[in-house]
Amino acid sequence: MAITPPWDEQALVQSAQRGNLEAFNALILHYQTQVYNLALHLLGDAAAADDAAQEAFISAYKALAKFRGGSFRAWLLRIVSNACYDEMRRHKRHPTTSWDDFGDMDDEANPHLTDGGPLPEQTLQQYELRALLERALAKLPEDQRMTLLLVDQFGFSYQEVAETMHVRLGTVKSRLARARLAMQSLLQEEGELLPGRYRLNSETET
Amino acid sequence: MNATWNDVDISAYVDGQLDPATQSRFETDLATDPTLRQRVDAVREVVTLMRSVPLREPPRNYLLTPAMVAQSVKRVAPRRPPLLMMRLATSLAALAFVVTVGLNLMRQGISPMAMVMEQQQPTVETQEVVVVTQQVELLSAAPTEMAVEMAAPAPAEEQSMKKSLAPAETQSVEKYVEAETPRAELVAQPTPIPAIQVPEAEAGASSAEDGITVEAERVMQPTATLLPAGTPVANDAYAETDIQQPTEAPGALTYGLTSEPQKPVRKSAVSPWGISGILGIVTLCLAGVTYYLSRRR
Repeated sequence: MAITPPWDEQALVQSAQRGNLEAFNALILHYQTQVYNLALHLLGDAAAADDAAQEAFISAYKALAKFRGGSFRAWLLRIVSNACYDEMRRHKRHPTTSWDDFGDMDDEANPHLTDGGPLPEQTLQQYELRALLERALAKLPEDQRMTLLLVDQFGFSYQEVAETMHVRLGTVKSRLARARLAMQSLLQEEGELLPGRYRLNSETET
Repeated sequence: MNATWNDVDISAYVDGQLDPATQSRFETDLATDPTLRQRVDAVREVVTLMRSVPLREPPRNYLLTPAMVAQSVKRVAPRRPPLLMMRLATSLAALAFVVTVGLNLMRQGISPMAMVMEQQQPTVETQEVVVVTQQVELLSAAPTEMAVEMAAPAPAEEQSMKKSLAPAETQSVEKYVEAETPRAELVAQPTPIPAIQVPEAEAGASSAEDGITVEAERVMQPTATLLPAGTPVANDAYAETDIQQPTEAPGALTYGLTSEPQKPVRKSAVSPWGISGILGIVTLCLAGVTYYLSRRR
């Protein structure tokens, strides 16, 4: 009878800071999807994002003593974004718009993380929509793209975004507003490609 | 009224990030303004769309093993001391390089003028040598006539010499030296020194540069031959001529010399170059140390 312990992030962080690698691995499992997706959107390359995610977790573990509280995921994703920017500088890599190259990346997804069952129609539509959104996101400036991801996909609060990106709250608000406006325009341009149930009302009205 | 609500306000309202008072005013306007409502709806649709899309799954788990952690920790620790040593060695090498180059530049920069200036110091007591030296300096850059006029030095005791030279262009140096120096009789005697015979050079040269060159060469000769007899040697050039022409004009040597015999002081050519060489070697050694340390893990 395995008893799943309740999720206590603070306790895990403190335990990891004392050198408990298992506790840190529990944190990794909890946040690795967000870490990988942020790296993917910043680098635009699956292999590079994979490497950056692994390096970021190693860096985070080494720097764990410097974490002084606050939002752990904000601190973690800041390390991830720094690792991505380092990678960009190292290889003069720029985010590309080649999201089509990824195809159905879920075919290669971690088998431990997917149920492997047949894809219902709704799921297919979601994948189409995701491909469309990713292409649109890739056209945004890096700072707006990251802000939009953190808030609208990862569910970060403004304060967490400010900590992650090391900017002020006002900057977060303005970047987010500009990003949403830009996304609105980009999605309206490709409105006919959107699955019917996801089409913007503002587009159909105009 | 709704014109006051910008995109940032609308976006913050959608996220519930407006403060209560502002949110209340916003909602009041929202109830009465269809345009504002349309803008809010447009933002909400984008947010909904973004949140409805599942994130991509990572291709693997990023779990850390003790080996990965140990390897990464081990890599960091021993790097610091060599890094500090490398920085120190690099700084010292750079400093040594700057000093070396600076010394070389200083030496190269002062060497042509220094030769002339240094000649004047040891021969203060022998005015004829001073005159000849200044002539050499000026003749190399000016026509012969002007050189003779300008060769009259600034000191008061040579002013009369300039006057005596002015009317007669072909007057010899011996004459004006004779006219104004107490040791005139020494110079006035026939000497085998051709260089002091300025008129000869002028006659041959008039305005031609070749003549000036000849004169300059000839003027240099006695200067060189005068020095070995005991005049303090100021630089390497004299030191060399000292050896090359030891007996060329033995009579002339005694003319220009003072009564105080001095040992020929060879200004060491080794010292500046020696320092430069040592510093150069130090630079190379430090560069080698830096390279060696940089190769170490």
